[in-house]
Amino acid sequence: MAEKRAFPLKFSKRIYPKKAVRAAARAFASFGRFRIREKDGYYVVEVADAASPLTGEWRDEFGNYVLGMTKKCL
Amino acid sequence: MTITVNSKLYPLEAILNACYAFIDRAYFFLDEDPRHPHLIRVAIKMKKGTGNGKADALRDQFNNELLHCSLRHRVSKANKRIREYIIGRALYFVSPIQEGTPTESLPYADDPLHIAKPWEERYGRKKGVSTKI
Repeated sequence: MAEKRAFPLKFSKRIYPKKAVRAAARAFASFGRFRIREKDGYYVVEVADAASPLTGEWRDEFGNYVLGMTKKCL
Repeated sequence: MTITVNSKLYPLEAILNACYAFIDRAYFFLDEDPRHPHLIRVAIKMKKGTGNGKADALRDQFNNELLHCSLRHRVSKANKRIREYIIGRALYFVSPIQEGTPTESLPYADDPLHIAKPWEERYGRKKGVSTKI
């Protein structure tokens, strides 16, 4: 099975804590295999083996979820 | 729609709280300006069914909420010590078991106030009242 990679999501380290990004990745784990790496002051989130095509709306929902988790971390 | 917010004027906590207030109506994505790190870009995308015409109204409401959250943050910061003091005092006086309380020395079966005695034993039954069910 060919691995499908969604476009990476970038979250600024200064704004979003790693804890929030990881919590969101855990919550969305049923959508695919998440990988978080750090690059140039950003947390880069990549999704592999997505169960269904990841649309722009999915990406937006993930962003909002990270925002919610960030607020919880305050 | 993107709004640029100066984090020197509005603290990051206030920006996050303001975004969170509208999370049911729009998608928010925050990023810092690479050339000016103190500037935070807030990308706002309306959710489906909320109506595109309401984007301008949301932007105005967001600006107001930003101001409100900023003020709340400032007040909260200024009152932090007194708030902690008040809570500390309140919790100190409601500690469940303090040393020397009479409950420690008395066995539970004792009834110095005679409150465990049934009404009928103390005052007798009322005349003419049937107890049959």
